Amino acid sequence: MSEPDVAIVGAGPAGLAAAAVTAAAGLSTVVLDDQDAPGGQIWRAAGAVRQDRARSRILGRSYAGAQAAIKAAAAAGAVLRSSCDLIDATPAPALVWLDRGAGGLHEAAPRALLLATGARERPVAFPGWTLPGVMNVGAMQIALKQGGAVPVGPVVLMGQGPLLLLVLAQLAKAGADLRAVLAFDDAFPRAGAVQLLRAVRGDPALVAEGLRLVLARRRVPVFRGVRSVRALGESRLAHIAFDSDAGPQEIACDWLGVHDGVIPNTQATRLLGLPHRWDTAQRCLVPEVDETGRAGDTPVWIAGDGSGIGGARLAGLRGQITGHAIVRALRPDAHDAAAARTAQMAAWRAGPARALVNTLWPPRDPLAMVDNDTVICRCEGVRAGAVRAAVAAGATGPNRVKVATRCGMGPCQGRMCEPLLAQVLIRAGATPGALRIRPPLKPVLLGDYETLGATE
Amino acid sequence: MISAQGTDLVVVGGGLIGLSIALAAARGGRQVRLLEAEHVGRHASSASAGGVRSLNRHPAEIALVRAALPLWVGLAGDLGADVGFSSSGQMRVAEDEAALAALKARAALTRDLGFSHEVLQDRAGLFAREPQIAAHCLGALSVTDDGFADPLATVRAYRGAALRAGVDIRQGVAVRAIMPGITLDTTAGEMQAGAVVNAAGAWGAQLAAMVGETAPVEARGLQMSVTAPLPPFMNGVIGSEGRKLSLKQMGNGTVVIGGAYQGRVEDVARVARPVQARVAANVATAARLFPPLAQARIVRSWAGLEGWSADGLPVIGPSGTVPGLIHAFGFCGHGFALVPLVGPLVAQMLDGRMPSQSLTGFGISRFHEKMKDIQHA
Amino acid sequence: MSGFRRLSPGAPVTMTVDGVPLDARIGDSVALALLVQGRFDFCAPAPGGSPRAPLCLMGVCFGCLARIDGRPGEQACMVPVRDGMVVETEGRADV
Repeated sequence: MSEPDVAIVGAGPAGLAAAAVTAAAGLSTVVLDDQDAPGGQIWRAAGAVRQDRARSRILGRSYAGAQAAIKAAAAAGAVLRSSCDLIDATPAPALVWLDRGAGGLHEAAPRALLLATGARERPVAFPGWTLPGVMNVGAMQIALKQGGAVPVGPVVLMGQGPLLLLVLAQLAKAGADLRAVLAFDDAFPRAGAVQLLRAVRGDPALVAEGLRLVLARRRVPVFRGVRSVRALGESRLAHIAFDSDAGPQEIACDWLGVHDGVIPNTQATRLLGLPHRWDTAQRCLVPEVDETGRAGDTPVWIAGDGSGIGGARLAGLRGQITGHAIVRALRPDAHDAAAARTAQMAAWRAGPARALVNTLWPPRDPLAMVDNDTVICRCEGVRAGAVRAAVAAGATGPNRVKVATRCGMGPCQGRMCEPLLAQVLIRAGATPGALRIRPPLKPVLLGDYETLGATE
Repeated sequence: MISAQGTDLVVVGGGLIGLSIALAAARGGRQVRLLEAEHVGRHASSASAGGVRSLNRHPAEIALVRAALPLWVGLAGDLGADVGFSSSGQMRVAEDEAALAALKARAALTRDLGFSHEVLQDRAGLFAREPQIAAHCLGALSVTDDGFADPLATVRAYRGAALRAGVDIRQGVAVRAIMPGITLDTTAGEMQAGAVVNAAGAWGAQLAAMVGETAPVEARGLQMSVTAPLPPFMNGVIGSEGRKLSLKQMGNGTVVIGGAYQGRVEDVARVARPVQARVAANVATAARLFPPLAQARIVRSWAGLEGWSADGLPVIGPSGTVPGLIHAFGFCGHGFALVPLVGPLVAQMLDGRMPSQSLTGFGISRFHEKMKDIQHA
Repeated sequence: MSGFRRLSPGAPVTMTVDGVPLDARIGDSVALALLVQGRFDFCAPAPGGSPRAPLCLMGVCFGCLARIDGRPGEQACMVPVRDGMVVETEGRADV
């Protein structure tokens, strides 16, 4: 197989939109994605959802555009490879991935590399958060999308943000036994925000319904000013205890869905050694790119939520913008300047909605409910007290904390713990820094290395 | 307390070699400042496989490393902190007849040099020590009192001991120039020193060049991998004759895999990264030797910058151009075992005494002489 | 132990989990199929032995590791179920 012109990692809205542009311009384009079908997180199991009325009724117009985007990329000639995990990459560019379908590691050296690896949820840590039964609300939504599955037994949701409201509404519509919503110290958006929310992409009608649902307290009690949460149970979650503006509470539940917004996935971009900045308001690392998503003057671009959270619609627009930029770089005669400008203008118009979301739901201090016994690094079982002690003893950066405590040394390479670790450092007056990311991005079975032309 | 003349001794380089020297000198009564461009143990010391190995050592180093071994046994007590040392033994396995012949020749060589630590094991002896090793193995050369330690714990222990001994450790300070006197031009200003040690590892040759000396020592990024935890199946540190391989299983069950594969040095100033295709070759060799590794997942691979000299031996000895400057760098990826010994030896040299172990042949002038030979040829 | 219920019928498949048959649907990940049945114990425990369960269901948290079709340490949430799939729970080697 000859080397592709363009390799894209991630078949969500951004990756698919970019692939449609680059492939249409005659650049051989390969899209690698780790799920078993394209669509990314938002359009997960798009085909199955479309064919199942029970699901499509609930999941609604979030999937509008999914089929079109997938078909456009394929019709333009992009090759979509599913079940492929990125393992290593360099800015040459070159990449190594694991093909879980065909088996084994494979490599390529394209002329341009686009990372469209999206976002993940922030960790919401508190005593007992590792108990079975505590899940991200995103996970509950995945159960709905992928399996048409709804939790049985009492469900409590905790946190803030558009996804929380969306999943709340979706679970309610699916008939889940929702017992309460726990809101943090920040007050829920006031009634006036309902109008503003219409600007929010995705499924504004459903989001608004969730908000009205909560505000009207028809079915789901809302507790405000929630703090000091503890999840309790023997081998799984049995009940939660917390303080609130309404006084101390205990709620028996089998499931606790938590959420405090999403942050860019920067494992791959950091592995490449690309520059990142710490976004103080968003409490996360963001790669530094120009307005077309290019990382400096490297042949590496970043698009979608992975370059900064913007939601699905903006991700698609950024994907287009980046696709056009790649075409202009690799095949200038095929560059469609007008289309690029159109996408750019649409992206500008979508900006304010994103800024609004950030203003309404600023991410809270991730250590607000963490005590010294709370696990910070789930992979290695490292507790907050050990991390704090290491910082106090002079480990003034995440890599030194890692060396001192093993926090971040497990298979997730900081995907879960890094925001918590960063906050410990910030509280101690240090800069949050960033964990050094090393290949493989995910642990690789020894036998999978056999397909990689072993060289001496 | 810094004397009017400046510091007694400045050690340039905060890896294990520099820390060991700084500690020994401070214990000997000197005022010591250690300058480290990044943070202590950042490069070779962190990337080390932690092997404490006298097995298959360059003949010129055998006496040194045999003298270093007993120091490892007492090191934790000496430093007041655990270094994770284990006398697990090291073995070099023969996977075929040619390898077995090479091991026999090696055993004869060390015997002729007057050493008895390397013992030839037959097949039965090998399998008694490593029951899980592949069935095709024919024998091994073993050293029972070799072992391994935890490089990061060792760095922490040396740093703590150095601080308690009064060493002034300055991190984030790089040396830009060295003038006779001795005056150091650093990124934290100018410093005076009665004596200086060049323990700058992969950058030791750069430092030597500042005083007009050349040493063919370059930065190489040797790559390593580590697996997820596995149930115990390996007892000692294992290498394979004729192959690039070093394997050991740590207390937590993870297996560290190395073997002199070179990663890519992307920025000679400070970065190396592993090449997955070379990881592939490395783990294939490992899995052939230990079938249980087929169940292993590689969790991390990395490459550490280390100083490699053209002849595979470190540069230890006084500078030929600046009185009071002593070199101790370029340990070619196997300096870890020598760490507890190099400190006291260099401290002896600083005091103008004969080091208790001979360091003949390690001086920087050996390259100069060779170059002179080439010119005359 | 409560699990999940399905909104609609789907294409059934059967896996074995530690030798015991378990129902799943085409489209499930292994982790989801087990979660639906209220099964958490398939996840490798944390250091110290405390139980773990899927947190994210999208390959981020590494809390759903199991041996699947002979491959140890698989993220069960990233593996689509297949009829006849063999799932085995793994302990942690360092616990």
